[in-house]
Amino acid sequence: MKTRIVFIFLGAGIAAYGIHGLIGATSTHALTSAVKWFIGGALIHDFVVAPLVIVIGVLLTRFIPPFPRPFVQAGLFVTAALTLVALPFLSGRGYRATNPSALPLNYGRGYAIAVGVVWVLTGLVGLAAFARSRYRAKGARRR
Amino acid sequence: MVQRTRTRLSRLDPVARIPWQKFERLRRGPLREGAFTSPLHSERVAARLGLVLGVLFTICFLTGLVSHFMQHQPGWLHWPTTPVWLYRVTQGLHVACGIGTIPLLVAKLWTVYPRLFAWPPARSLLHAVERGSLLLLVGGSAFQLVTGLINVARFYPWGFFFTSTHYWVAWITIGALVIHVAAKITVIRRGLSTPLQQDRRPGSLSRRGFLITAGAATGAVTVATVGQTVTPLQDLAVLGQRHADIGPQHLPVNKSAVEAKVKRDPVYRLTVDGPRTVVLTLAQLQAMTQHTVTLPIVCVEGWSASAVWTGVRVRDLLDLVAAPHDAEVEVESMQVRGLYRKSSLHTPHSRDDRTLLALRLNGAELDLDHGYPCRLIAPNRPGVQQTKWVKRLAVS
Repeated sequence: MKTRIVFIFLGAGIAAYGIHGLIGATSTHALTSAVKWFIGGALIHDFVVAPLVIVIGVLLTRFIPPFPRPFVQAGLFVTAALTLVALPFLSGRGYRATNPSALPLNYGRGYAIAVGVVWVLTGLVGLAAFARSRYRAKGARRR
Repeated sequence: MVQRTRTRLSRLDPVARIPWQKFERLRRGPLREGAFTSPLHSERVAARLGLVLGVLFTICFLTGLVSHFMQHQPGWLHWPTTPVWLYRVTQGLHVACGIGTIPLLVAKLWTVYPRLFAWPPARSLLHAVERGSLLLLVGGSAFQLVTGLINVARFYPWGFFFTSTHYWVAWITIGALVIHVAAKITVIRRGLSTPLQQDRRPGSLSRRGFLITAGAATGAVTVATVGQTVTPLQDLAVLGQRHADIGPQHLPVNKSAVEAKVKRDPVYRLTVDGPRTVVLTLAQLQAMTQHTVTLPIVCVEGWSASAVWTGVRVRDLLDLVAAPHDAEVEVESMQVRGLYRKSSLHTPHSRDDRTLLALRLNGAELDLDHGYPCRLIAPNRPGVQQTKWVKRLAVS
């Protein structure tokens, strides 16, 4: 318990050092923007992203049959992760014609390929699981 | 005795005296008991994801400190020149671990989401502080990952200066992480030591399946980006910010000459200021002993690419002006504005045989975008400090 309290104070000290540094390093305008992004990230997750995931989960339960559902869930999760990482590149906002070697790729095409590969692999894993369960069921019947 | 102290403390604790049972009718929606039924909302899953996240956050924090102190070098630090690939590895890891963390953080937040609606909201002052620190942890983690990623995509939709804000928020996040681990250590231990177990409900992911999915998502975003650092994998990096072969002379550029407002100067002179001052024309630089090295350009944004550089050793130039051996050298660019128009060269970099003012790249005259007529290239140093369009070396 004592060690825990020590670490809690240590962590609070480290965080306070960061807060102090942040306030000292930036103008009021910049600090306001940083705080907005800081709080915004947590709020958007907790009250937009997470509820949205719950709604998608409910829709999946309603419209996808139980067998492929876990695979659809997994495929959607990986797709969502790829989408999050791809968004800043897909937006094209960072591209400057004055420096064509920065962000040089066709990100729309790359993203489409990546998502395609994810669903092909998800399908293959799902099919393998389906074949295995059929095989097992057959074996059980023979016995 | 302990019991009595506790009772006395709880009498002083305003949070512990809140009569939550009176607010029972507020417990609606997600606050209801048993509102979340999925077996994925489990401390076993949370502890396993948390362990991996803790490791990745620590790597990001430490490699971030390396990068910070290389660019703001305190007097006591002598960053080595060997191995030349060290910064390539630390900064590549920093960005790769950051990107790979994104799906794991999402999975972790999903797993512990019901805890947001825990009842009662706070049992004691300490409990309230601990829950409050989660805002710092969640806010800080999301901030670091989101702004880091968007910054890598060279897009700055905010009003703060990325570098220093990312640095200070790292301290906030790591501090909050220390608090979190200390506060949850019992739960973490219990979660890790309990097997995931068969919780398979037909038609939904098992706990094991969920962890595998999170790992697969990390794998997917890593494969899609890591080739920007690990060049053999670059053709898989469909979301890479750079391709090591795309750019003038088959090398990417971080800031082009147009962006830096630099033009070819027909009467270019290099000034070396020290105990003596020497002014050299490009022809005189070309007439000096030329050396060839293979060194990477390593960007703070995580991409890197190796190239063959030919030029004059900086130490030879320092000897021309009889600079003291341990002198710090300021390298100044023709670029008029910009944060990175100057850089400092300390020992051992200033005296390393591989530190050049490069005149040629991959066998041809340096392209204007790469710093024509000459640029600094030193081993194990961030790209922003490999000053281009060098017009002056000043020994202090």
